[in-house]
Amino acid sequence: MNGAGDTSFGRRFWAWYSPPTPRERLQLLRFAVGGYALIYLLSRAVHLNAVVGLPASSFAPVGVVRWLDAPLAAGWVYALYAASVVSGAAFTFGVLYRASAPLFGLLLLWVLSYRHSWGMIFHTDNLLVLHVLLLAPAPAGGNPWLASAASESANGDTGYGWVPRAMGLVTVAAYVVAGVAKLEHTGWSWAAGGALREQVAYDAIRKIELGSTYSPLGAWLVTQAWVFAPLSAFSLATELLAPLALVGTRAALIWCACAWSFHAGVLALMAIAFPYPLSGCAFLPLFPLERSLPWLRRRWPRLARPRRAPAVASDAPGA
Amino acid sequence: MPRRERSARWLAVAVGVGATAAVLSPLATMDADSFPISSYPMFARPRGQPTLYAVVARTGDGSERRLAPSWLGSSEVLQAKVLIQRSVEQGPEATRALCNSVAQRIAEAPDTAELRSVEIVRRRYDPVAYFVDGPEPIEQQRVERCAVPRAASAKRSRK
Repeated sequence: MNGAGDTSFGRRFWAWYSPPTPRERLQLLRFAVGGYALIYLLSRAVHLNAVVGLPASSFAPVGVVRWLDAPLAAGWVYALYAASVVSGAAFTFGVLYRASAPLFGLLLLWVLSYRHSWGMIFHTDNLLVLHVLLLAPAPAGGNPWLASAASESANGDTGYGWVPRAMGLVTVAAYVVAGVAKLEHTGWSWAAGGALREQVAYDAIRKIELGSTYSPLGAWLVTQAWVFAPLSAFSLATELLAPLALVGTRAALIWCACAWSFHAGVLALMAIAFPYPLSGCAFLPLFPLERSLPWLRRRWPRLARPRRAPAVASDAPGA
Repeated sequence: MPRRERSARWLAVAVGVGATAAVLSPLATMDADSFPISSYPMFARPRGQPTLYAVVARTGDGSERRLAPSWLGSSEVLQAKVLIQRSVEQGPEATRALCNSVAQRIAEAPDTAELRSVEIVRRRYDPVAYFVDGPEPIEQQRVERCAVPRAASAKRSRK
């Protein structure tokens, strides 16, 4: 059996699937995605641990938590959360990466799955978990600010270009699934605007009835029926045309701007935040981040001064 | 190509393509919603005329006060919604327990003296008409009612 890359098709596929990718891109991705995840875990500490006070009757396990018959004891919830924060800090700063990265990926998956096992799945976290898990096997430890001139001049390919590619693929796939779901449940008439108008109205009522914050802009726009057709068509097109982001950097930039605008619109009209894409971190795997390094090094020159000999070369699996 | 490199490439393809296939897998059924693999049903389904459950408080003169999700022990509106719905689906005992727990929280909180009772209500709406014509539900029903314990004890002490 030929290996991936041995045949003509295989070679072309591999060249697309794993383009030359320097370590610095992986490190910057790790820093951005890990930093986002760490801040998210810390800022949501109360929310993530509030499950210890919810009635056991509300426990509806999803994903990897399904094998649990009953909720965990409070001590386990706190301990696993604390472990996720510690491993998340190690992941973000590239410390003991070969161990901390898979550990953090699994703990993040567990902590968020457990939180979503109490009646409501928050889809805003899906891509974050998948991205952290996909980054785990990459040689992304160490400090990107400390990269040697030699590695830059050689544009040293790590052989792990498939990691950002896979992150981009799952990002695009998630949007396509969301778009197809609309067609499956409502049909192409979703683009006509009625379904979105109904959704915005429903979301506002639900929040008003439950005494929560709702979007006054969305509530007002429900009275302006005409606006929903263009908004719906734009949303559906953004989701279904997501694969175009894989064509090249310029196409990715245009699609990311559309996707970001889509999420900004959801926030404005329904007060529902998708913080991972809104922060921009969800779209970073689609771009050659290492090109920003000269600017980053000028902006934060202190980070480029090594405190001690870096050990960035030892974290590649199998190294 | 060295055997080790070939194996590494196969593994890389399996991980990336496998993860993408997993994300795309709900396309096969469209009913499966889980985490982190989802069919993203939230904005896809038509809402029609949804029935919503809410927990509200009543003052002495019978006027209604909406209660934020925190009164139910949740910081999330969607989780609060499911919590109420599940309690109703589980029957009168669970509904009464939820009602009493909210009433107890109100009794223990400051600046809630005017709240005398808690109600769990079921209301059906036309979402668009709510904002275009007015916020009246198409139909509504009280599922459970319980007194705020402090209000009851204050009444007893006045007697």
